[in-house]
Order: sequence, then C-alpha cells, then structure tokens
Amino acid sequence: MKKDTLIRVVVMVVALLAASYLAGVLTPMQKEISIEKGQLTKAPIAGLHKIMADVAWMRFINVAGGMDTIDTKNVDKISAMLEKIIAYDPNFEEMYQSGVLCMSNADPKKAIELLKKACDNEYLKNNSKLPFNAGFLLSRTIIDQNDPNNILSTPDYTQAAKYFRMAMRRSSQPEPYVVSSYIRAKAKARVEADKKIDEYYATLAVLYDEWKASKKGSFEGTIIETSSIPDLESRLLKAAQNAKNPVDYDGNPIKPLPETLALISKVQQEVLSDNHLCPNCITPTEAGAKFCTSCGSKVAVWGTCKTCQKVLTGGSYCADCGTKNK
Amino acid sequence: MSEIMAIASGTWKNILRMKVVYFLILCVWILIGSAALYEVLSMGQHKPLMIDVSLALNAVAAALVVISITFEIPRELRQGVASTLLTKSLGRTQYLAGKLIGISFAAFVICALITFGSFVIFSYTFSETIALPMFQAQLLQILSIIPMAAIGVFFATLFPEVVAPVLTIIAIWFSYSVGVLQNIPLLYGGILPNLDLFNFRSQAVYHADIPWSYVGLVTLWGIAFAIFALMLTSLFFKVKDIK
Repeated sequence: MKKDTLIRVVVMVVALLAASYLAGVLTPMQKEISIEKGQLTKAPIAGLHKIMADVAWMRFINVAGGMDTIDTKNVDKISAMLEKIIAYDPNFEEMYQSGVLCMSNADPKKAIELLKKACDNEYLKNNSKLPFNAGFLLSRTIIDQNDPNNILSTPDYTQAAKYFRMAMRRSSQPEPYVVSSYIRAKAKARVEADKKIDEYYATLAVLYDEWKASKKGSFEGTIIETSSIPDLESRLLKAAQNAKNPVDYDGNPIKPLPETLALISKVQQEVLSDNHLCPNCITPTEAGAKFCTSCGSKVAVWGTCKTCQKVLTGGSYCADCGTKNK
Repeated sequence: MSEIMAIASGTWKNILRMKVVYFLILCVWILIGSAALYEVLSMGQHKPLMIDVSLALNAVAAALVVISITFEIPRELRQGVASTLLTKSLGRTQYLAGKLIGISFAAFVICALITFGSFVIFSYTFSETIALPMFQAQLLQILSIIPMAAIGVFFATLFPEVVAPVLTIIAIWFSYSVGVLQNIPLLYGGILPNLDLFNFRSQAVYHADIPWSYVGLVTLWGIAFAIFALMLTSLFFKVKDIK
C-alpha cells in the first residue's frame, strides 16, 4: 500500500471513529433537548415535521370550516387529521385548544384522550386551559346529535376533578369558574361514591377538607403547600349557608341532613369562629345588631361599648362616652 | 493549501457570481414574508409558520447549492478542467477538498443571506426581537451544509451528472428522515450521515434553548463526517480513470 493511500485510510478511520463517538454523545443529548422527537412520526419527511404540522393544520381548518357540522358521521375524518398533526408536532397547542374541542361533541372519548395526552406533554405543562377542557368534557353527558338515544359519554367526576385541580395548579391566579368547576366535580364524585349524602354536604365537605389540607400541609397522603382555592373561607361560609337552607331542584326548601348540620357546626367552630355569624342561617351580623337581618333570629351582640352599648366606630375609645374598650 | 483555496475560491465565485442565486434568495424572502398573510387561514399561527417556512426554505436552498456541485464536478472531470492537478495523486484529494470548502462557503453565504432576510422580515412583521433558539436553529441549519456538501462531493465524484444529483438528494432526504438506526452510532452518524442531528426547527418555534455545547459538538461531528466522506471519496477517486 502506498504511503498516501495509507494516510488517507488512517485519516478516514480516525474521522469515522470520531464521528461515531460524537453521534453516540449527540443522540441522547438531542433526545434530552428535544423530548418530542421520540413521539414524531417515522415517515421519511426529511425532518420537515413542523412545517408539515402547519400545512396539516391549515388543511384541517379548511376541511372543518367547509363542514356544516362535525358529528358522528364525519368525526373520524376530523379525528384522523388531528392525529396526523400530533404525529408531526405533539406540542401544537392551538390544535389541542381549538381543534380537539371541534370534535368534542361528536367523539368526546377521543377528544378527552387527546387532551389527556396534551396534559401529559412536558412542553404544555404550564397551559391551564387544556386540563380545564379535559375536566369540562369529563364532567358532561354528551349525546349524539343524530341519535338522542346514543349517549357518547357519561360524566366521570373523579377524573374531571383531577383535571380541574391540574388546571388550578397550573395557574397562579385560577379563574373563579375553574375553581367552581373543581369543587362541583369533586362534590359530585363524593355523592356518587356515597349515595347517603347530598351535594350540599359534599360541597361543604370538599371545602372543609381543602381548608384542613391548607392548614396541615398534607392531604390524602400527599404534601400540599397551601390550598389552590382562593377565598377559601368565604366559599366555606357560602357553602355552609347553602347547606343550612337547602332547596330541591324546583327551588322548594328541604330539610338538611343531620350529617350536614353536624359538619356546619364543625365548620363554624373550626373555620368561621372569628366571624360573627347568625347561629340559625350563618349570615354575618353587623356590629351592634341584636337580631339577624336575614332570618330574624337573636344573635350575640358584638362591637359595642362595654359601658354605653353604642357601636364602636374604631380606635381604642368609645366615640360616645370615651370608655377605653381595647 | 494554496491549491485547495484556489479551487475553493473558484467554486464559490462561480456560484456567487450567478445572478439567478440572488433572484432565488429574493423569491425565498418573498415566500417567507407571505407567511404573514396566513393569519386567518392558520387561525393565528402565522408567526410559527413564518419561522417554519424560513427554516424549511433555508434547508431547501442549502440542498440546491449542494446539488449544484454534483453537476459541476462531473462536468469539470469530463472537460478536463484542472487536469494538471488531477494527474498527481495528492492533487485529487486537494481538488475534492477545494470543492468541498468552496461549495460549503457558497452555501454558507446564501443561507446566511436567507437567514438575515428572514430575521428582518420577522422583526418587521411582528415587531419582535429574534429569540436565541431561532438563531440557533438557523445556525444549525447552516452548519448542516458541511456534511451535506461532503455527500454531494462523494456522489459527484463517483457518478455522472445525470445520476449524482438524484443520489445526493435521496441521501440528504433520508439523512434527515431515518431515525430508526440512530441507536447504532457507528452505522448511523458514522458511516451513514445523520443530518437530523442539526434539526431543531421545533425549538425555534417553541423558543426552547439549545445548549451551545451541543452546537459545538454537532459542528465537530459535521467536520468529522465530512473528513471521513472526503477521504472515502478520495480513495475511490484515486483509482478513477480520468481522460
């Protein structure tokens, strides 16, 4: 073998080994940087996945826009188009938000499946709308538009509550409708699990558990720093008021359950002890009031001067007689 | 070295002197800019679309420049250009290295112009600064020219100009596509090129940073692969009968 050929072979082998070594280092690095690579379609499209996703998205908009309605007859086509977009780009946020909701009335199970996938997506972990949409679909009964006897999905409140909770955690200031949806789903899940209780009791119990969790720092074996529910005490107060005076579906007053009354009393003692509440209807009372303005029951007087019984207006002394009250 | 640079400069000057190149760059800029018109059709996804279009068109431009070499080398060999140099054994390697450097430089310039234009269009359209991942994705796209050019030179040297461009485009296409063999580094990323290592188009859209260490290592991989491909080509080229 000539010298120059030998040099070429040696350089070639060294370069090959270097390239192989670097490829071995780079491949796991790339997987770490670009997590979605493993989920992409293996179709040979020269790495043009992202632009293919855009094209498929615009095609979806065209096709869906041209349909009168998306129902059980044509939903498979829509579903296949959305699946294709995911195969090209699993991080396509708008597709999950708008695209999946388009088909939610025709194939809710598929829509939920896609939304669950989106909720598990690392890139979309800060999106609170996706788990909310998943929870929303999970908490609804969806009926086929073409056949009212065909129930496409029934509520799964336990799962719905899980996703509403996820939506709350992903938002620094959760919207009131998200919080309400979570409480409602969780309460309905409790009612389903225990037929002896009603929604009034369940709602109050859910909020009470959240309050306890926020105080203790742990709930159901998991560590929770603080409750994600804003205005928890005012919600508890409202829930206690509703539970004290429950109504049926027609709006007629009904008798509260004994368990509910016991829980209300517990909530009053533990949570609302600093509030001045009517013992009958749990409405907050005004300073100096002798009777509840809501139900007329006699209430404990507070915020008055110990000497002249006039209502204190602030500061340490009574504005009327000058007695020191604090 | 001077021979290599002389061949290289001849190659890039040939390409960069062509007016059609600048016309194509202008067309690419217009296409990138037209993505802004897709606001309604894409339901507000025109911004990522513009980034995707710029990256995809840059890749196409790079491939086109590389393909140009697959016409040039067989033609030069047929016409007996640089025959003095080619009569020497080492001269053939210099010729290939010169071609590789020349075509890489020309592609760098063209892709850099496309990148610069796309950034100006993006900033002007959306009144936004260019995010680092957008720059990194374009940079990686430009760096991918090094192994792509080596593939082009390999096929251009071994096959006639009718076959070489087709083989080159197929090789580039599958180098970006095949991820199945990625777990066998010696085969894929060693013997076979893995251009997907340069593919971070999603990162540009989703503004996910790419570590500079990765950019550095992948550049080294590109250079190592180009050297391997060049030496392999020169081994075949050495025994090739040139009129």
